[in-house]
Amino acid sequence: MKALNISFAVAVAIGAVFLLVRHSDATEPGFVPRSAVAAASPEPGEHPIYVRTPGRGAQEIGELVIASLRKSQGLEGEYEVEQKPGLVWFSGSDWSLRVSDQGNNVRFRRDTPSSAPAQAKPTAADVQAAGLAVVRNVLGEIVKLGDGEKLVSTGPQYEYTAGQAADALTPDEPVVTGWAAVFGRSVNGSLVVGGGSHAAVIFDAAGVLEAFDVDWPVYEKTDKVTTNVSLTTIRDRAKEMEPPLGDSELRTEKAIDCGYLDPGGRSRRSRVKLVQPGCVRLWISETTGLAPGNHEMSAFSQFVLSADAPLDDPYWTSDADCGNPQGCEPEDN
Amino acid sequence: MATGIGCGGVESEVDPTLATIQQGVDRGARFGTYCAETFENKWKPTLPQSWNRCAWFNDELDDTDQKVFYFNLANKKYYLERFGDHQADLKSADDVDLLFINTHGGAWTNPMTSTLTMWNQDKRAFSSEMRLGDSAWWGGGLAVLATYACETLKHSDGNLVRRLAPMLRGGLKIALGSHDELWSSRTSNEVGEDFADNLQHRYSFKNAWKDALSDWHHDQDVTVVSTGKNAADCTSRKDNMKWQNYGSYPFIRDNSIGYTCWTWWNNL
Repeated sequence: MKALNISFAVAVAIGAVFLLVRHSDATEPGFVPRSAVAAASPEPGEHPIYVRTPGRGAQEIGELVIASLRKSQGLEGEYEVEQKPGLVWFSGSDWSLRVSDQGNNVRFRRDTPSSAPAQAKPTAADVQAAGLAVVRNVLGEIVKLGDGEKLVSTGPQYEYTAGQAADALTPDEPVVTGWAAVFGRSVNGSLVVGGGSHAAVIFDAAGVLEAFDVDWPVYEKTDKVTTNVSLTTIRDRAKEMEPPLGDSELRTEKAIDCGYLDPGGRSRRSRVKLVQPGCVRLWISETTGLAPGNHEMSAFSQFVLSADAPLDDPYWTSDADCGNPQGCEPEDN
Repeated sequence: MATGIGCGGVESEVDPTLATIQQGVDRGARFGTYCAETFENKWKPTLPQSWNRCAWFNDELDDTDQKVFYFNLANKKYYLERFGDHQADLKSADDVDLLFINTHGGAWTNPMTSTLTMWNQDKRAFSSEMRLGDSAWWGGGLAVLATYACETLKHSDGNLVRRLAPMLRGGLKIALGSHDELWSSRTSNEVGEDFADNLQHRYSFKNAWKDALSDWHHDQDVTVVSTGKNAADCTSRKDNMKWQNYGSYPFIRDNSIGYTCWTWWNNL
């Protein structure tokens, strides 16, 4: 995705957007660069606004997921339940499940032994098929689609491992040691961007389910509608919020992903309530004037609502509260 | 050794008496935090959310372990590099078991080093000048370095070992960071807290770091690096070391390091 600029992404989107429906055949092709879908999303015109509805409860969802894992993945053993502010942990002897946002956000991980590298890098289609099977068999109570919604396949991602002996001049060739199938959601053809509405299913090198990370609330349509401004205006809004840079810094836009904006429910603090059109703009700052071969940079993202008159949501209009009466700043020793 | 879900294990490294003195019976392992949000004369861009990211990391991990310091990066080059990484007041890099840093980063080839941006104008700490893991008064030192900064573990040019070897030769057991981009945003302000929470829940360092940083939208580029006597030993340390068992993995220093290994993910 990183290398895609917006114009290329639009071209890809026109020719190649392919949205998977929930129960489509797992062998269908369909990995689409996220930008390709997102670029088609901030279309001018009116768009309905949605709310991120509360989940069924962390305890209930946690128990449902564990039951599914026992049935389909052979998960065993007793577990402890730990309540923390905004989330619940279920911990077994070699696995754990974190559930937040009243069950809308679920992250599972279990220990799998260090395994030999994959004999061959699995194809995108293979990764997708394996991921879809887990979505159906384990996450079926969570990953549900409403009217106008589709599951969008945006992976795969691969884990690589390399190394270098102390007496070697160069590293060994990297090997694939894991992979993930990543899915998102589109609403009326617009991708959800910002970190919400994702289902990432992670496998070890042997193809054993190792983890998943899911944010999948039910979106409820409101009677409110907003009208999008153009991408040029959205970018101008973002630029108005850019912090100034020093003389030795060069700013470059890497991407702008647009659609319905939802930062997800992993946070144990404030969460977005309204899901409305918006974009995530990614830019980097690189230090200039360094010696050849030397590179330093910083990476920043901005969230920009794209309606002509965005609806007020405290998440976007107030800074995150440090929550510490003494403040969050470090000491200067 | 102290017990509890989040405490670091040290039993095989130090005399139990010393461990008790060092850690306190119920205070787990020692950790410190160096974080910058602003920079002198704005010589580098402000890092929004840096202090939330670090303070929430501290708040989470000190539920189970001992926060030794939380400092900004003013004048810290000396305390990160080899001649100053142990101090009499035990408030420097090698005086803790885990160090979490949030600042700007870079990868240089001339000289061959990774860089960490200090608050002070034009000041950087260099991996080529570090030697982590061997300076604490009890003979050990820093075991885990977690750096939320871009590029400090760059490997695409084949020079990772040359950049990091001086730092790793002190015995540092695992380095967590990025080979390319880590994003600063309001949705990444909890990565430190998530990392600490994962450590407390017995994730390996590798997975605790990976799962905390990934949000499947911001294209986080995540790398973890470890060392071992040989390739198998290195893989085992990289994949299996946890906050609960890292003490059972010995410090490996200098020419005892036979292999350096790393795992990475693009665009998490």
